[in-house]
Amino acid sequence: MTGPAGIDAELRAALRAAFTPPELVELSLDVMAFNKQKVSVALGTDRAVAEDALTELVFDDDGHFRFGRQWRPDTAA
Amino acid sequence: MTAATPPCARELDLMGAVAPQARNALAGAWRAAHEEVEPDVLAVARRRIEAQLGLAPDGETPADGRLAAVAALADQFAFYVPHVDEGLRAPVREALGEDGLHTLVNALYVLDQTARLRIAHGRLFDEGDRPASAPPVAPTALPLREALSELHAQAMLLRRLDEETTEIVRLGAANYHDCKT
Repeated sequence: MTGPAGIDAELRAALRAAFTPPELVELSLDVMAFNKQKVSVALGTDRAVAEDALTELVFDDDGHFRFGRQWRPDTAA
Repeated sequence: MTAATPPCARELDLMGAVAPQARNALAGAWRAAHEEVEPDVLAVARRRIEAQLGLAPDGETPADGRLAAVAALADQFAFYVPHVDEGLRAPVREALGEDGLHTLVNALYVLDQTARLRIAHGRLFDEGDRPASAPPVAPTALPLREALSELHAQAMLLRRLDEETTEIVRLGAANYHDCKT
């Protein structure tokens, strides 16, 4: 994520010992997907959904996300 | 590879075999970026991002002020995005307009992630891991912003990894990018 050129033989061996090649493809695509935050960070539009709460991130059957329930410290179980 | 051709890199052929819909979405986002951003602007952005990541040699800073502003923004986007500030955005906004700035940043994401995937897959996989011939790629035909949403969605539909692993990736990305969403 920070520098793919830094994937050296040691890291490659460790990753390939833990994951199959198809799983590594998916892992890299997870990294890609969550790097989409770079767009809002670069534009200066990144904001917390709620400053005083944790907000659930929900994915629908088509893979699209929406924000769900919120938890505030004073209401947390 | 011409500017408007979806990235046809051998490194991405395993992605095409394992996650064809995500590969189509990446190609569609690439196509849309080339349709919505002026060619000289996108060419500078691509060259700077690929140089930052080690895929291309360092180039000279463009003499043209508009392209120099794009180059500076692209450099910082690839190097460490939390340090992109108004000092970098304002000259691009002045040159391209507010909509142009937003479109360019979306295109930077496509260029940046395509380059990173090419490098990572080139280092992680051997030729023997890849299919003998390149899987067919059918780029999605969506505007850039929608193409990016589709790309994200296709990645989220992959099911080989458990949810905990995906969550670790999400938290790691948010932490590194100082993202609050």
